[in-house]
Amino acid sequence: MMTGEPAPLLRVRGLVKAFGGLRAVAGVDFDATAGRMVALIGPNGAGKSTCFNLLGGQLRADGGSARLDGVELLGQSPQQIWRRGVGRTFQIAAAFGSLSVVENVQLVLLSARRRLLGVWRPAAACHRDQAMAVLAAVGLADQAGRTCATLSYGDLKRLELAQALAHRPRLLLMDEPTAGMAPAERQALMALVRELVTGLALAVLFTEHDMDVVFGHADRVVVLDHGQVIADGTPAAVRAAPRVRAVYLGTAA
Amino acid sequence: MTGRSPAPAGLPAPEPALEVESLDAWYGGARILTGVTFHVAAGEVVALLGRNGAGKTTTLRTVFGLGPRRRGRLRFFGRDLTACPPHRIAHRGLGYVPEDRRLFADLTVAENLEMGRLPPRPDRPPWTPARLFALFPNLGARATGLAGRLSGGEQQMLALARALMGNPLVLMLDEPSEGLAPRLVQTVAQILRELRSQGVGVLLAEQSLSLAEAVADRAYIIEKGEIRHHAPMATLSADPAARRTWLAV
Amino acid sequence: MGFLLVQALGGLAAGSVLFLVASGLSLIFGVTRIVNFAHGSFTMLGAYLAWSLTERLGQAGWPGGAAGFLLAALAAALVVGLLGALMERLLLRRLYRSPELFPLLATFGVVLVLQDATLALWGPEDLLGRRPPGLSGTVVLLGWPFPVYDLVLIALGPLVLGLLWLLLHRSRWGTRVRAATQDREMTAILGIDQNRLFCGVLMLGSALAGLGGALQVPREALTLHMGLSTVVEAFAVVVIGGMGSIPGAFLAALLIGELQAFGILLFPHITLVLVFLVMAAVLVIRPHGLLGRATGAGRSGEGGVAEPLRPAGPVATTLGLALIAALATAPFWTGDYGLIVLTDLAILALFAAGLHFLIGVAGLISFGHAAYFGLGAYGAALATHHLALPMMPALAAGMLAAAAGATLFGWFCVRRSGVYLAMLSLAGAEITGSAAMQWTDVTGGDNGILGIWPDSWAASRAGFYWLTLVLATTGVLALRRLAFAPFGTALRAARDSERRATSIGIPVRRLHWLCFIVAGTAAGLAGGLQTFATGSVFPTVLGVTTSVDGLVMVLLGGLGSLAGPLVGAAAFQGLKGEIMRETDLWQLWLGLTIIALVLACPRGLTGFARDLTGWWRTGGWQTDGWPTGGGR
Repeated sequence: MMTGEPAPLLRVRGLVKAFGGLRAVAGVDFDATAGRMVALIGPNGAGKSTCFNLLGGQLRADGGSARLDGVELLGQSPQQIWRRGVGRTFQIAAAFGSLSVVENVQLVLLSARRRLLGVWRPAAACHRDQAMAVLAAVGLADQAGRTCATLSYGDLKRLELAQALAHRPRLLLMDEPTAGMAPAERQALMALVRELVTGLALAVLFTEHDMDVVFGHADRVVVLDHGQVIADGTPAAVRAAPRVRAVYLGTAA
Repeated sequence: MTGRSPAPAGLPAPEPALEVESLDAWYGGARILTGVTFHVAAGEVVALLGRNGAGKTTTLRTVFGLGPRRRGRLRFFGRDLTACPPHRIAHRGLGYVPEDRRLFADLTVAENLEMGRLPPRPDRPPWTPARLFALFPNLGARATGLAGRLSGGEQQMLALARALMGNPLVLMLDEPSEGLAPRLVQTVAQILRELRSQGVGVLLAEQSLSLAEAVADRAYIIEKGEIRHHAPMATLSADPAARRTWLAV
Repeated sequence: MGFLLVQALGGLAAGSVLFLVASGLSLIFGVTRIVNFAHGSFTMLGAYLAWSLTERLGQAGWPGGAAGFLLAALAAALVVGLLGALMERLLLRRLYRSPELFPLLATFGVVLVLQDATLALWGPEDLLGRRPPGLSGTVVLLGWPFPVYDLVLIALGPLVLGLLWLLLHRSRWGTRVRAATQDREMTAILGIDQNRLFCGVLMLGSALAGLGGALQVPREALTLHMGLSTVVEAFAVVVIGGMGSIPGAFLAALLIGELQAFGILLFPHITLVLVFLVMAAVLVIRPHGLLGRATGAGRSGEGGVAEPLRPAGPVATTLGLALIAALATAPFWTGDYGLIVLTDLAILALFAAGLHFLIGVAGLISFGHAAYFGLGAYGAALATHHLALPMMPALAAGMLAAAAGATLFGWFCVRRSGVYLAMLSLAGAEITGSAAMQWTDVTGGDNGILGIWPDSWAASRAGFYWLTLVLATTGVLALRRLAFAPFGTALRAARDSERRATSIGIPVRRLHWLCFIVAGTAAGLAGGLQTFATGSVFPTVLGVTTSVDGLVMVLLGGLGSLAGPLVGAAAFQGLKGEIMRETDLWQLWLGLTIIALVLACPRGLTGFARDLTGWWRTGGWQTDGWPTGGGR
């Protein structure tokens, strides 16, 4: 499919974050490449969520750099980072409950185009076709008119994905994308993500507890333990690494 | 693998303590539990297994009359619970340790225990702070300290101890092993076994199998708000296909 | 030196009384999360009861002396405490599950009822209390006389603080109260009957309010207005001290007492403003008050997911157009009185629609929307009076003044949420109100500004009515348009989930600020129209009553529909008009009606209508689970 390794889109180097005396992230390096999915795994408390929050701007880093296409992300506000093309989904899906499914997506498009202060045209008429196209891409087109508060959990996850994709991010951060879903739903969602990654040349960085999802879908796996990278490579290589087996896989299964 | 609908246990059930039949629940317009049916007998540990978001917490909350609108039959030692407000459910002898511990952070450890105190039950020794401190020495050492200052594991112990102060006949625990070091999980397992030997029924909602495998007699598997599978714990442990299908571990 | 000492001690005495009232309010809010507007009325009732008792004692030659007086005060407090418990049992108990604003509305109904009950029992005149023997003298401190009674009060504050501390920290009941303040639901899980606990807390808190009132009797004249002014001041104390913190309330009460004692020397006219300026400053520096914690005081969203706004269907559109047509032809089918009523109604509807945009659409609760109504009213009046502008530019000036006020106060308000936001908005209104009252050269003070009439082209009843109808309809429709536009949709999204809204790049705080300005401008237009409709403006327009009237209209109508505030305004004005025609005690009946409506339709009139149609369609509603409130 692809020949050779293209230049990485996201380059994380020497990332550090301490809480009190504890170094939750202690000098982490890894890359994410367009069109590829990178899984960030590790036992509870290894620093995965902290890494995510540093990249998303929810936390301020104590050191290191994270460059998206050469532009430094660290030190920017979550909104600036979002505008630079970093989308995000959360571990527990939620939406704007009183709005309809398609309005949830339209709002993202309006926000991305800085048209939130529109006072005349109803929001329901703005960017509707585009929003419907995004919903169709995640398989939610037939639910477009429903009020979000009545969606099933799986559909809520899909809606969240649609919201994250609507402003055409280059990098997508997904925090436990399949948490709380049935196995069939998990596979379908990850297959969908893969389709989108290839189709949109998107880089995906995700955390996940389900090892089937990780080893079945990631192109590259980065293993954290105590805030440090203890393995980084193809799923097969990581699975074989003795140190990984000792700290993580051995206890998980 | 047994059928899709809940199958009978295959184990002799001594005395039905908590019986839940065809429990439906709604949040707003969305149905979040559908026909949930299970029972817990006195002196047995029953696991309710399922993933994040499968409906475990909702089931426990709904049984306790907290939160969502509901429909169905709930019986506790033969008496109807449906019209019973939560505090009276507690007095009847159903204990509940919610998922996030819910300690009173600004109260001391001893005060938290006092908050849990309910009248003793006939024919069994009441739990007292002294007995509980003997069981959890860490808590005893911090009896006058604020609960909010405890470590995660100590908080979980205190949440369990506080529920025991109510001398429950049936105890529902939501993810008691979450965030606990393996040694503490062993302690929890030990206590659950002891409760079982005293004739207390235990309903254990868990995402991970380890604690359930250590203590549970039977297990129900819940998914998308429905009970999908029911088997003796030993059968489930020995059935990797079922575990993979329902729990993906 | 002696003067300063006496002044400082006087401040402490006033602070002590204020602490009694505020500690009760803080206790009640901490446990029940109910903003109890009736608390000040309980203080008033305690004062009037104690007045009657001390009159009897005085006529009987003061048996028991000072002790007799204190017993009388305690008896008054006890009666008030029982009334508080009664209010919990009969009213609040049914409302724990509804959004936090509904209990507030219900307690406001109680305020109205108690106000008129007091009027009926004790009459409209201000009452002066007697000082009991033994407590009536003065002592000389550094050459200045100081009332002995105030010394007793100074000692009483710390005494009550100590007793409350013992009760809360050394008794089983107190432990439960503290636990319930942190996590109500968990106390229910542990087998504690919340109803009983809440009832006890209401009783204790109300008794403290009553005691505070009773102890005021020898110090100050009793008036029928003391209820609302007391609750506003006590709220300020509670917010400054930190919601739910008794020591915080103590500290804040003494601070306010001193502030007023010395403020009156330095800025005699703006002591109340000082209180609110301090409150605003404290909230900016310490978001949860001096000793408060981050618990509670959340947004109104506790009641679950907000209802979706639906665009009007063909039936609703037809009905709306028919209504506008009917209103437009009103001068042909109704007389002068009818036109006056309809003019008022149009103004109120616009005011309520603006407030609903803030509360219903954006989820921001304002207790001080009177500020913008009043700024509009004064802006228009001053532009006419001082600048001799014609009516239309004067109305524009009023809107501009309201928008400017909303820009200023909104900037502070949107930095906080929940009850804190509400109190900051109230502060805005109180500050504006004092300015109107005190800046006599410009505003005419209490005398107001008179003789502001419409230009000749709109001078007839029908002419001004049409103008009002056109402007109000335009305003309401514009707000409606805005609610469905991206701006309003983004506000609704942020109300549903602020965190999620931020994560998709919605600048929530800026939108909230703009929302304040929009709602304020609408209120400003309504205020300006009101000035021309009545030909005058007085400082009362900026009072708490105006803000609360707005809240009542919005909540009566229901938050879940844009038609809500219009229905609410019509119902409110209709009720008020009907009741006023029938009886002098109109507040009593209005209060009772509000209470009945809150109990019968907790989702407002429009919500009730939707429930009815839903019931009609599905043939029944499902029973709810047991009410627990679920707050933490």
